[in-house]
Amino acid sequence: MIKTLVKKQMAEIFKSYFYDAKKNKKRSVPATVMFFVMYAVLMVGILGGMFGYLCFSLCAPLLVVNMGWLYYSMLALIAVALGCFGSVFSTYTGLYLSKDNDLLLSMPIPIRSILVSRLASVYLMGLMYSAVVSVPAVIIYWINAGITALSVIGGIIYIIFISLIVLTLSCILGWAVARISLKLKNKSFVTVLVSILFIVLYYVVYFKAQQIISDIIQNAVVYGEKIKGSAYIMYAMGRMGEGDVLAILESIGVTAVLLALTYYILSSSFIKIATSSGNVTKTKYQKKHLKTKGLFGAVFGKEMSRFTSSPNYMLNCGLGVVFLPVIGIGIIVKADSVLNMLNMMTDGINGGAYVLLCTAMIFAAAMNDSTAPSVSLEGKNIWLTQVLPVPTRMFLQAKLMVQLAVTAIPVTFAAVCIVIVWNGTIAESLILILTPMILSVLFACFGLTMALLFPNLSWTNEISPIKQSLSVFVTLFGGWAYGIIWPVLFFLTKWPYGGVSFMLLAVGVSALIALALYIWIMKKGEQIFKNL
Amino acid sequence: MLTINNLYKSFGSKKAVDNVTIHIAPGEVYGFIGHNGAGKTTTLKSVVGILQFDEGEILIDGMSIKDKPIECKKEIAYIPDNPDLYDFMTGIKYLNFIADVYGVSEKDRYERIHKYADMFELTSDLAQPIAAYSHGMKQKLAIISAWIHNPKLIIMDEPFVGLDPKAAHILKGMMREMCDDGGAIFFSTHVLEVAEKLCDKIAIIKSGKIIKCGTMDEVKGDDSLEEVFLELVDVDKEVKIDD
Repeated sequence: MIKTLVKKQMAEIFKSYFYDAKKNKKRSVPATVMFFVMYAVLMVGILGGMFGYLCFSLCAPLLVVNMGWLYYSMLALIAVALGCFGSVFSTYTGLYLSKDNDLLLSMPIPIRSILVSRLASVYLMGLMYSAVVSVPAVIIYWINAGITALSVIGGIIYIIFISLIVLTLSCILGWAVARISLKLKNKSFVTVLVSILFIVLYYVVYFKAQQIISDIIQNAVVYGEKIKGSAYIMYAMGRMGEGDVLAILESIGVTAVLLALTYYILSSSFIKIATSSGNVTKTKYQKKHLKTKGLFGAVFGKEMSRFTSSPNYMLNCGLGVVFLPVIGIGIIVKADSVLNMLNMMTDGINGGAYVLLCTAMIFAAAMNDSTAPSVSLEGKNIWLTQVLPVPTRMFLQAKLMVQLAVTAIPVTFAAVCIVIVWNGTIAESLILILTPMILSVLFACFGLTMALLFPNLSWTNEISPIKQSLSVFVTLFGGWAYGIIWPVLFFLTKWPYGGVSFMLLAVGVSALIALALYIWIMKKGEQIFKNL
Repeated sequence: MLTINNLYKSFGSKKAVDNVTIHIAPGEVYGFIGHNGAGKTTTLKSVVGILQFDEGEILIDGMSIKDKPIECKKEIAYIPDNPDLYDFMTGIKYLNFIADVYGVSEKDRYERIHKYADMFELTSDLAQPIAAYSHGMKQKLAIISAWIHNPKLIIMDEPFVGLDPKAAHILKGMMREMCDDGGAIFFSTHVLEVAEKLCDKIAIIKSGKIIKCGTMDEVKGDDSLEEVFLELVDVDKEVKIDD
């Protein structure tokens, strides 16, 4: 039974990899393999590469002072934080709020089977995020310290151990969110607020990380002794990675106990939470004046309601709304440090610092990707878009407009802050403002293109289209990859005409790509949407 | 009001609708009955523009659904067999959204929403999210939304499923009233007693083909609709057994 349910969960997550909704048929084996390879390349190449660099800078200095365990401990902390950050807010929805709750609970399926199958999804999400740290950590350790049988076993168990700790923490936090959520009135608002506070805390630690890491490397022995004395589990975790047999056994024991405890807590409250309608006070409708809207206003309003009604949707696809102004203010506050750092990084290359600043704006524009899951989120309501007397393209334009509406003001604000800090010529300032604007349009079009190419309308949990779909994955990593291409090109070609001309070229090319994508959406995309 | 000429629709090698021809005039309540999988929903979905059909012609008020889909859709309303509405909206927001889409004036929408919501005793629940509605409440909301723009033709797929007896009675009254005012209704049902009492004309579909259609008297004569339906369906079965 568990196997059947897990298979169903996995089929939901990976449906786009195996099934072409456009052609209504199974993908060919090479196409499926290509999608998985693309996934691995993007995940390992971008995130893995980022953390690989961190591992590389940490490993050798700590091995020199015989503190390999501290290297593993520190990276375990980062991996666990990233894993939890990636999955904690979707765990509640994933575990308890599936649309097939009634169906599954009405069938002779043991509760534990339902729970285990859903835990498998949560585990997979946690593993996906934590592995981008733990896998490079282990590989870099093997390169630096050499490979032995014990270090290989320890390394593999280390990766599994971290993913299980992530699962445990995500579940406990998800369970806590569920308990609190049952008592809340404005769930969406409170969930988003708490989540943002958590994320802000995460980034405060993240931005301090470099300083903390340097401090630890310089005082490795002192900190090592402190950790051994007061946080033994951290020490054991590090030793486990190095292949210490006792530490491996201790860690396996601790994991088993934690997992058993988590499972007990979840299984004893699963039905109550999954079937509870919560503390909902019934609002009685009073007849009142009804506001009218034009056709596009109505369709746009419907899309905006979809976005603002779901904490998962807002948190995963609209975080830029909060972060862009924060980035802007942060850059003004830390203006000198930012400029010094940029000049140092570019080593005085003409226009290098300017190109990097513009690149930051490209990344900022990529923070929102509400169009990417928007087609799949139509789900079983797709019939409404087909029977209403609304031109199909208008639904697509409304989806684009929602992303642009939630991105435009914050991204412009951030751009203006950067213009103030840079204090350059009029041309430089204009390009700095134009870059995120054009790129926002490009990423909105790119997200919608992916949404139309990889739709999944048959989900039972909104987490599937929002977080686990191929369209979101390609949009997110594609956006980052696009942001990296431009500075790499600038520095590789040693562009001789300065930063402004280069960024003008980048913005021009981006505008052309955006236009091409928009035309495709309005022609081919419209047909795809019609026939879903 | 609705003309379906020689409609064909296949899914792969399976013919779901096979040369269906139906004409519905203003003022007619037209019933559509048949087995599960006979092709009723496929025909209805083709009429409202959800499914692209392979061959044939569908005209709504003289306009082709293929050539002028938006104009046709403005004249009709559709209620599917399973009312999957926007869960993230409240009932009133959903009705207001539909009214906006059809360009219903502020005065008309106020009157119609409250008139029908009062009739179905749904008014006090309109501020609730649709996600909190029961199946019957969603069905009532779908019915109100179908009537909100005063369409000329309403297409309904199993509209009585999930409705309590009082709501079903109200719906029958609304259907009759609409047709008396010159509108038309095309609906599928498995409840043969309802079809017999309510419909002016009826079509029986089997394996994608219309096996009998016409006025109620033409189709059933002196027998009950149930007897005729079962007889028509069983003829084929007997032939197959004999073969």
